[in-house]
Amino acid sequence: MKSDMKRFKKGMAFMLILSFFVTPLLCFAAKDPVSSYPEKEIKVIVAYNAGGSNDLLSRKIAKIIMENSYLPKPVIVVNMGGGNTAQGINTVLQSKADGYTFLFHHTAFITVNAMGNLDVSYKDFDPVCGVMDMNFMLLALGDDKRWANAQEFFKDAKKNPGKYSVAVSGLAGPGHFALMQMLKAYGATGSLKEIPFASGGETVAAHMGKHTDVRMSNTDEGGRYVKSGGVKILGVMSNKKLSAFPEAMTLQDAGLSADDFAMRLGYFAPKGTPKSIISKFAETVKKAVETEEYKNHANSINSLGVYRDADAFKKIYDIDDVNIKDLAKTLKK
Amino acid sequence: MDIFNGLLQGFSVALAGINILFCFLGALIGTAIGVLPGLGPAATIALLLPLTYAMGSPVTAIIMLAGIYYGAQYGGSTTSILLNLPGEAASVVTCIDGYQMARKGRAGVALGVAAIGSFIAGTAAVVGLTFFAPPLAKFALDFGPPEFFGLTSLGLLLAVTLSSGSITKGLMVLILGLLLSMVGFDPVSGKSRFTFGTIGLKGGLDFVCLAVGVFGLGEIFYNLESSLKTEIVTTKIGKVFPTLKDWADSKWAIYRGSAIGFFVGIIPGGGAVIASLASYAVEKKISKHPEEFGEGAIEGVAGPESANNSASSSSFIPLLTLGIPGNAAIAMIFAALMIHGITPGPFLVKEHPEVFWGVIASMYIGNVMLLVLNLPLVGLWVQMLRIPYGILAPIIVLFTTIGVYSTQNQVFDIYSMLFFAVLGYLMRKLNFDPVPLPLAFVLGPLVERSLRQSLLLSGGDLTIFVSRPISGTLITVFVLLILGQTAFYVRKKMYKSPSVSTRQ
Repeated sequence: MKSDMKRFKKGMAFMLILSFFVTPLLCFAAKDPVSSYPEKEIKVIVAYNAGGSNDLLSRKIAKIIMENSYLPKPVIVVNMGGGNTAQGINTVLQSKADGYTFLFHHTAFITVNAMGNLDVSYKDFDPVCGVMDMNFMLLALGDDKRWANAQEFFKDAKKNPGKYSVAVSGLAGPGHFALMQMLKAYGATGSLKEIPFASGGETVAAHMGKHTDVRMSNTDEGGRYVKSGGVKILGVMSNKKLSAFPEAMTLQDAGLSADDFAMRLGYFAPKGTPKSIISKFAETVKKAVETEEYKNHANSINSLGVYRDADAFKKIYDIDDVNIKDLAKTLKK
Repeated sequence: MDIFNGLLQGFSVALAGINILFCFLGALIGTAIGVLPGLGPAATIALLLPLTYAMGSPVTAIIMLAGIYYGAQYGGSTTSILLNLPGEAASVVTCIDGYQMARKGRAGVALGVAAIGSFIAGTAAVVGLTFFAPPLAKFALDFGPPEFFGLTSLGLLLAVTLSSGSITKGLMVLILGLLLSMVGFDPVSGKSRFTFGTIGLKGGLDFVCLAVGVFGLGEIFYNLESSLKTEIVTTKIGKVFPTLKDWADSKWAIYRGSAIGFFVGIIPGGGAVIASLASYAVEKKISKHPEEFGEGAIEGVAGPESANNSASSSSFIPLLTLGIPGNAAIAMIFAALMIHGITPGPFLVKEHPEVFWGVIASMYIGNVMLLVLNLPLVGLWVQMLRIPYGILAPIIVLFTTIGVYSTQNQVFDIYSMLFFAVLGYLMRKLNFDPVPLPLAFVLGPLVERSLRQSLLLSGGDLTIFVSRPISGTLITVFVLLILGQTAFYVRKKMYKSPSVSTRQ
């Protein structure tokens, strides 16, 4: 009996020692992280507080992905609005490059950096894909008989520099840069009084109360008022026609051309995220962008869903970067 | 008559079973988040937006969201009165007399009056909305940057007069508030100010951290020093509900507050803060016993509470008639309408009358529901004051910390709350009334922004402020008030000097 116990103990000791060696081996033999991606929920960080059109879009995409089960694990949107986009951006910058944390952002990434208010640049991230382009347009009140289109307006503004004022929401944000790009294209830089407002609502109120002559809005915000009446589009900051407002004057219509400017929304990953994981997530987003639901949402905000893969997304950002840095010089003076 | 037909239609929509349910749900959620520090109506509505996708009917969704919005106003006054913790800028003024009433065992009365006043004001505002929406909206649009400057400067002046203690100390606190508000982005040039390179400060300091830190935690730190304190209220709690006498004392304050809040609330961006300030100042000025203000005057609760509730109702006017959101929470409701394919604007009443009138009708119903919800709860809340402070205080700290973190998921916010707690503690030790601080913090950026926007518009010409009728009037009032106060003090001094000189 004693020898039985002894054998039992020996057996146990052997098993214990064996397991110490085998278990780590089992871990290494575990599933390849890339092919089993995603194994847990994916976090998408939005650098703004809940509710903006940026945030709503990322939530829409997450919803489409989850409803259609494109991925086996949930996609969760987290808002981090602190530090004027710096907090959200830095959080993703410092996250593990394992494909479970992404940043959803747009051209403000470049503009805030160009104004010297953000140390980080989109170049510190690996681009994943782009999902939408949002254009900007110059609006006048519906009953304003002074100008029929942007050409007439800028002609007038150039003749009378400093006479007219334009309301723009978000200081030195994409809207303001779009305005400057438009002024540059029409050769009217510096001819308008540029009045920044803290939010879209205030911009609209100021313009509707006739405190400014015109306003610069994106197609989401501005489009609503065009559709509900009371406001007309003088011109769009775009070379080609906007599908939502085909009658609006484009740069091409005015006989001009300039580098396109739009707010380009998309995903970024921490540098070093495995390429195959990035493409897997990007492919999933692409499927979401191609759904009817997404197209309807894009229509409702008067924008076009434009899918760009990682390379194309990076390319367009590089082009925008050069333009914006150039425009920023005027603003910084 | 068109309006009555519309209202009838609206009520038939609002009284549908599911809409009543969601109205109640919204009111309940709104009250809860109003009471809890941190999460405000704007953020809550934003988070619940995806839920509205699932709701078939847009009317139901909007009814719920609107309920959350004005429910939060009701809830916000609860913590102001019980714990001296303002949930948002509009509740700061309620703290002044509300908390003092609570300490004297009159918490139930204060809460009751706040609930009743809010109900009357909210309903009155909805009536005003029903009949006068379009012309009032036009009036609101006439407020441009120069008018805002006049209005917010007046607000700053009122904020100083609210503080107990010397005007000098009040001014010092006010200026501190202004300085703190400048941390972050310059509103016109976009350059960072006073951020010392930290990310946390880049966006500026957060109001919730300030309010919760200076008022809530600061108070707790200060109270930690006196070990004898066992409860917030040491005297007997007494009558829980307002008596007829209380009603008689406060009813005119309620009526006046409703009117002030209604008109000020229409102005986009103007809002509840200035309304509550103005109401308090008016009540103090015309009161027969002004010395009671700051010690627990019931009018000091009834007036501002009514004002901020009617302001939150009237802020729907620019949204429903012009499609302009007046503040962050309304902007979220706007987004919800957009999601359902409804574009708020001048044509809303024609294209979607069931939405327009349905929402208005639900506001009447919602106000009733909130009254029914809140009045019985008064008894419950008052019991909370009996909890030994040693248990209550840590619970408050826990909730406020969670609340503060929940707004931006940023740990820095917790540190800044602690900074403000220390500041609040020091202010109390040195006998500085902290009330002007959050008010200056909120109004300061508005003053600066509107000043610079106005100067940009006028090309540097200062006459823009006086050449326009509304801003001209406001600036004149501002100057007159300052001159009046100065004259008052000069006369006081003159009366003193003869007696000094006779004392040989």
